[in-house]
Amino acid sequence: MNFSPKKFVIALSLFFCVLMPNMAHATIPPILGFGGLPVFWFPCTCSVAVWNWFAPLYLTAIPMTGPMVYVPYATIPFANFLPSIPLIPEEGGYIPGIQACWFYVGIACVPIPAIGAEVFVGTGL
Amino acid sequence: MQYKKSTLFLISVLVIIILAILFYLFTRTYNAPSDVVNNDSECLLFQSSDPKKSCFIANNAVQQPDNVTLPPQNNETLSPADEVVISSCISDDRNQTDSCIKKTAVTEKNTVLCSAISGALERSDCVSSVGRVDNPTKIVFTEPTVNKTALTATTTTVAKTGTPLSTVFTDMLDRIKKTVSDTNNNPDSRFTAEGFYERLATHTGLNLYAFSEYQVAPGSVITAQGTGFTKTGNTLYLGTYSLSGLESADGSTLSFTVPSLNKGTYEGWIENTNGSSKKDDRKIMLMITNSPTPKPVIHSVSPKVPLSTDTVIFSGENFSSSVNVMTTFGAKESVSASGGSFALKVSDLPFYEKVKTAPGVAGTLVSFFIYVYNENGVSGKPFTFDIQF
Repeated sequence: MNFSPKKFVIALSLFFCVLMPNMAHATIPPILGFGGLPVFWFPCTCSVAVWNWFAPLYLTAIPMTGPMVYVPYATIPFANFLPSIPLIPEEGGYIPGIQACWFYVGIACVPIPAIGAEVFVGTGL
Repeated sequence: MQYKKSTLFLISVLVIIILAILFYLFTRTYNAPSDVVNNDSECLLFQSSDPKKSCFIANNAVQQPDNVTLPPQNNETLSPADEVVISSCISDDRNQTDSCIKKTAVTEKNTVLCSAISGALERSDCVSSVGRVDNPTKIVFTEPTVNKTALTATTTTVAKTGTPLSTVFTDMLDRIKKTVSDTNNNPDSRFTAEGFYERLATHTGLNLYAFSEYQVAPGSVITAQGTGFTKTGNTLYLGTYSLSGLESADGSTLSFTVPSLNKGTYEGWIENTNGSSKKDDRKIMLMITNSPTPKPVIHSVSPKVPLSTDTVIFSGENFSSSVNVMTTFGAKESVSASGGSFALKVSDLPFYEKVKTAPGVAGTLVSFFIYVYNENGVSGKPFTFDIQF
């Protein structure tokens, strides 16, 4: 069999095109942007967090409504340091799909659904 | 086979490059900046005088823009005249009373009236609302910085009067994207997912949230769910009885066989090297019985997409004679149930009025979740559907 360097290089390149994407750190979801006006909130009585319901909530240019969770020891607050205050606008980054809010219902804690957990948030005044 | 020297050289270079890439990929680690301290308990107050805290704000660092009007100072004492003004707001429903007082305070532009509202956050919201009446569209945001050594806040007015809210927030989304992409080149744990998870894991601790079933028979295998479980060496306590040597593969669940204890309701908690999950104000309960009733579950709602003013009929199983509900708009207890169904008016829920009057809600579909719980346990998953406002 004749060894061809050209074929060797091509085979090696194809091999790494398959291998390298699998080695990427792709298990942690990315941080996405959000902004909006919190309307009301309640404390997550089993976990140290605050569940905020936003209206409007901007995850894209199209407004929607929905909840985000603020975690006091993990979410980084920025000025004007008024997160979760109703009708004070917020903007920041969040990670989707994190279950950070648990609420006590007398015999157990239940996970309260939210769009995501706030990683950092700045507020209006 | 004979190769030219140049061919061998090229192959050698290629192999070295590949090995270097592999070495980099497998040995790189993320090092959090040394000035980001894990113990951010002071940041619960949202501000710290220590430059090493992530919420540090230097003296005079925040420049108050000229076009922002602060709400007037709040005098906590209601005068007799103020009491007369809000007397028509007093009712048995605390939420209605507070909402009426706030509206009156905004109309009268009088922050003193806000002192009659229950709850510090609601009072602050009332005072802020009175202040915003004069500047309804001036929104001030702070640009987060990627300064690794200290957080310096700069306040910039990014929205001029009259700018539509949608434009403000879509511009904001572009700024957030830039902030996040900047951290790819200049990692700062305040803006990275890894940093967030690190802070979350450091402070979450050992917790037991729930058992997979509430009523169980001895010998059945159930799962405990929580956080901070260790791979080995977890001890589950059910009252005075203990089950030791339990393992957890993922740190948040562990399975065990229900022991043959006397019939009754037991408080459960976990102990391991991370401490104890026992909390007197949040007891996680387990009922041991020979004839367990499954937990309540909702199968359907009618109408499928109800209006916000409709009475919604929930159909399911194991509701018994009444259920308690935890929903998007708050909780309600002792809702009568019979024949595998119960009725609930969404407008009776505590936060309904706030949602109804929120900007941008009218005419939209709002996602709604509901848990039911009673003496048979708690529904395992929330039932979700949309409500038309």
